[in-house]
Amino acid sequence: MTLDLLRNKGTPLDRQVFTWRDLVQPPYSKLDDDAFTRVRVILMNGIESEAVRFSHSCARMNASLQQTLAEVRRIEQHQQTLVNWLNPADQSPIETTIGFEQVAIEVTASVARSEPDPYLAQIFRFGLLEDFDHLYRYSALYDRLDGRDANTLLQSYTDILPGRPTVVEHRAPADDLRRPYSRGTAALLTKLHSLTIMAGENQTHDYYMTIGPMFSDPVARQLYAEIASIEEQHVTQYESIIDAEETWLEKWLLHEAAEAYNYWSCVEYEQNPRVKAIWERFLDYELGHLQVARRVFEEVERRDAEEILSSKLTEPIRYESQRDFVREVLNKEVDLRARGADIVHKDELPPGNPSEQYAKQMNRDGSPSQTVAAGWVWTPGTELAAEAERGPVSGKAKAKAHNGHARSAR
Amino acid sequence: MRSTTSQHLNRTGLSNAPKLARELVQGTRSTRPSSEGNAESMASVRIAYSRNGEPVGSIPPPDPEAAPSKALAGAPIFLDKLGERLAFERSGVRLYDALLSKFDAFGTWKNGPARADLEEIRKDEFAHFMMLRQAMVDLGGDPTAVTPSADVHGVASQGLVAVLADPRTTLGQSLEAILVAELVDNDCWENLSDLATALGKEELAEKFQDALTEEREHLRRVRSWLGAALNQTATGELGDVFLARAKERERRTAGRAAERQVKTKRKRSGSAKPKRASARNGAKKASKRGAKTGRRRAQAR
Repeated sequence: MTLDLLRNKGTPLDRQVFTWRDLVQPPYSKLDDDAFTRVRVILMNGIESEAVRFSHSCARMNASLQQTLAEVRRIEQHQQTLVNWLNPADQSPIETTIGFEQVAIEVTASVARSEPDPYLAQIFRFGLLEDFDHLYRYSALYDRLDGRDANTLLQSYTDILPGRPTVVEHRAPADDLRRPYSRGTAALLTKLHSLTIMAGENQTHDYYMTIGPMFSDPVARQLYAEIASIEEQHVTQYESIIDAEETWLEKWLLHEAAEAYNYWSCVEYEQNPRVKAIWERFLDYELGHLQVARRVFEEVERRDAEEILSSKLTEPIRYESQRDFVREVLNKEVDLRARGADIVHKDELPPGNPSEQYAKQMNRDGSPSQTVAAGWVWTPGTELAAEAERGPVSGKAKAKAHNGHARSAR
Repeated sequence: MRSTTSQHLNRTGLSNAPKLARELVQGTRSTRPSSEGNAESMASVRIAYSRNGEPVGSIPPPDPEAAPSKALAGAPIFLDKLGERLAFERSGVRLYDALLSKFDAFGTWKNGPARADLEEIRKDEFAHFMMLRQAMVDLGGDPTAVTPSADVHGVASQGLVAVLADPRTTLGQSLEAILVAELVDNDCWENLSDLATALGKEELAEKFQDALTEEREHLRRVRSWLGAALNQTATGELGDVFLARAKERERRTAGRAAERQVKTKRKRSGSAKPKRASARNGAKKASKRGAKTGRRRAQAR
């Protein structure tokens, strides 16, 4: 299968219509649908969220584009609603969070494997190991707060192991900036990858910032505060790999192309026929948007859109377990750190460097990500199942441990 | 009754994908946590925050426009708990509204609820809300305010609303949520009634006792509907074991009600020992309620 972004005209804008009933469709099943259906729903919400965010930014800087952008943006808004509302109500915020981290791992791994630019592939792998660690921390929280097993959501596709420890991910801002691809020479796939992962991270940041305060447990509130901060760093990282010299209209074209590319990838892998029909419908909508953006681009910039979108896309994002690849990256790259735009071994960092100082300051009163996962190892059926197999800890020993902690907390 | 999962495949367990599960389990065998300790680390943070924290909120002050004669005589905790039941009963009306939608969408089952049963309980919940509202006004409290206990019970009940409002849940699954609400409601009405008695508010205590009697009947009916649903789903008929348990519960409830009546009368009359007549009256009332219960069960069928 190939995706020809410019030959396929998609659905014309005036035939892209919705009703409120249409926007609110029956959700997927948390229990019965494949985990990758949830992964796709979460990612596509992020892609649509980025479409709306970009469109607003562009409108604020380009008065002459405001009407056309508003027309397309209204449709993007409703696409995002329909997609996001596929999340079921019995999926709690922590459960959706676990889905978010599975997105960040599996999608970033797929992207890293097929990224033609070796430097950017390294950047994707770098971010991947951090989100991999977040999944481990949130899984510990889910176990210790709710008494539930994250693998019931992950469905064994994704490992639940420590990655690059979250406690060391806190970097000085300068160490989050990377070198951008060059708009003139970078492959189209590189540009689409960059937009996709940036969009995913941005929505993850926004989601954690929204739901973090909904938790009552102080460790949960701290953990969301901590990981939301890393997600902000990730947005900084991934937006810095995109060439800031691209024109507004070039960026618009690429955004529409990234949306179409992602819906196409979803169509290729979706098993749920009802959800697949949504991906197909929205792929056609995005190809329609691309035609609008192309027309404006060619009128205003007096150049052919094929300069930007010449190549046919043959490789969708692969929605399948990336376990072997992730384990290999974990083995080889867990000790890598950022030094400016470079990724280096931690031993190469000078003592007292700005990131080390910053992390030290932030972790001064304790590390939520370390606290939540202290001694925690994923066990089928939660760590209580492991405890049940070992035999319960005596009440006396528990009380002793508890009193010790209470004293140290004071 | 609608089957919820027959045409779907549940994928939550390890057995869903044995090969993937084996890889996952093997990979985690050699895991070393990145920090030492156990779940107590979380507890220590909770304790530290609790010790230095602020409360959920405060009990609303009396209505400044209330007549001086209505000035609050009871302990603030009474207002707090009154506000809690008021809010719970008000939400209870909405729970039964949602339950009626389930009934209309899916229908019922043999020995399950009739629409009139659910409407009747909804009416009771509304009447309890109205009664509590008036009680709050009579005590000089503000019936529009949210008390700390009302807030805590509201948070605890969030899942009940979520289950009942979800179009995917069946009438049976919704009744499971209603069971939770009715169980809590029964205990909380007992507490409120006892609190009123302890504070010497006999008239209110009596009203609360009447509400409790109705709530007990709600609970009995919900239990019997659920029992019928479970048993019929499992075996296709209504089993003796469910009927026997229902009868036993009924007997215990009647006994407790009679005992409570006797105690209340003793307290009011100030007598040290129970009079035979009082005990007889209590038993008589309980037996009357039993008859009412029987009638309702017949209606349910």
